[in-house]
Amino acid sequence: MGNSSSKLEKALAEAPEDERYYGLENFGNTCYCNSVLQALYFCKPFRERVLRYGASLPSNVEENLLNCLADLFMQINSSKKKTGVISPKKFVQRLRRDNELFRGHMHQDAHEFLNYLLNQSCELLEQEAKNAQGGGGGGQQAGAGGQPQRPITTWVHEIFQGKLVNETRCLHCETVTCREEVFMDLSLEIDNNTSLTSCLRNFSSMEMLDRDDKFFCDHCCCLQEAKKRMLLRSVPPCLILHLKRFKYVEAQGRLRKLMYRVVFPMELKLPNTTTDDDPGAADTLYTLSAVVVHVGSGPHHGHYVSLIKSGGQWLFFDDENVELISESQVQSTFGSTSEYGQNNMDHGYLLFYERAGA
Amino acid sequence: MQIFVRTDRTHLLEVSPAQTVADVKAAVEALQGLEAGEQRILFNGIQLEDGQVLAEAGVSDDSTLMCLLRLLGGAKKRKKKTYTKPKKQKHKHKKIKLRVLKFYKVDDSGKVQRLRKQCPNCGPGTFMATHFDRVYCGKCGNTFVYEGGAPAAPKPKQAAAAAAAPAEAPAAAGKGKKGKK
Repeated sequence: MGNSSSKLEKALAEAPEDERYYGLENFGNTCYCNSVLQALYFCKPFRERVLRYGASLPSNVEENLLNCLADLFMQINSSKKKTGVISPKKFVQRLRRDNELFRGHMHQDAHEFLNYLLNQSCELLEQEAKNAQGGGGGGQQAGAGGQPQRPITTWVHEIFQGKLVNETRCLHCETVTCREEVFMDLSLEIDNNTSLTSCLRNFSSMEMLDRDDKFFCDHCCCLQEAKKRMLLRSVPPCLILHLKRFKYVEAQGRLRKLMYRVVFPMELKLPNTTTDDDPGAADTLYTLSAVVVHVGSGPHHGHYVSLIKSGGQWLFFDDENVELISESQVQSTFGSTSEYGQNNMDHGYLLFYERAGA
Repeated sequence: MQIFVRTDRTHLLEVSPAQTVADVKAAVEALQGLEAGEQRILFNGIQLEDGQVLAEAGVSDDSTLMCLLRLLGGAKKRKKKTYTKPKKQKHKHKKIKLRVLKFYKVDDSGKVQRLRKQCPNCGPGTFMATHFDRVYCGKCGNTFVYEGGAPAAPKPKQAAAAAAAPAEAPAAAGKGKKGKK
């Protein structure tokens, strides 16, 4: 270990001086957590806010998931050495206490964890903001009634939240129903031998609502065939894309992991997905900053690792291990061209894109 | 109210605001067969829990729920050990019939000579094995290492044995070939 870390240190000589590369210990099946934490740590805007948040905390604050996270980030950030291993014990313990799902020593879904962590952070921040505003008098009421409107925009929202617009056009009366919804990440349907851009286009493509899924048009007051599409209205500084590498095979009655080859570019422009009222959004350039990779042949078990770009170099984080890798190794996680490709089990699952120049 | 549920395609469901997320999952199970336990339902970027009532989660008419599945992972991957040196071969006992005969030699005068050193601990009658650089008592483990490396006497023996072994090997190989043919 000592040998490899010094080798890494040498290789990282060009990396920014204040950057820390720490592996995270695995407490038995917690790599879904480790890989996501690494990706979030290297998501610069998020890290900055977490560190700032951590620094502003009073010392006797009640422990919650977010300040455990801040604690962990500060621990990494303030380490003297450039590389090493840190154990996220406090964070994982808190996570297990807070959420029943992650309590056992079972394998988990990285996206589910990421979603939980971000939303939990939002909730905690909202709670704090509310307490600061009105002494927490209507705390419970706000929890039930105020949540859907999201009156408070926290910094987690500022970083990750985007807006979608749902357009449904009744084919009978041509009435368009629009509905705005927010998202923390986009879950994309995938196909074999495609690119991320085409998956995004597919996400926003027109879909027919017919037969059993007819749409009740308020204008016609009856079920009608309709066309529906989802467009991006506003996009966040950090865009998280989630590839739906799973499928339920109805004929076999079981779940399958999709090994499909989906090429994700280092630089992404969001095509066709934006609505007309924000023409600038289509030109926004995103650069790939991290990939959370699922390793394994099936949906029921496997391993998660993360590939992260920092200081112009790609790094490989596998629990305790941190290694330098080349860009071509990142490309090996696109998936396999043959449908049942058996030789390569590493597949990009969560993609973190950061707005260039943000 | 009607809601959209997006799996790999979009379904329309007619629900009441008082229904729970579990009801939506059950409806999706009925439509597509994928088990309710496997599904994750997200709305407005938040994953909803089974017991949550739709209205409380903010779901209203024409809302779109995302239905996702899971890719589980978490295993600690063990690194495969890489050996740099080839495996050590275990010593194999060589069976020699009536090995004891080699311990003695009858010289021209008919007198018996004992060729092996006897162990000083175990007394006369206990011979010590002669190795290339030492003598060893199999009974008590007493070992004497020859000074200044191997003595002259055992050395030729070793060489002879070494010479004998390759000689045997080709013979065996030859046999094998013949057998195959």
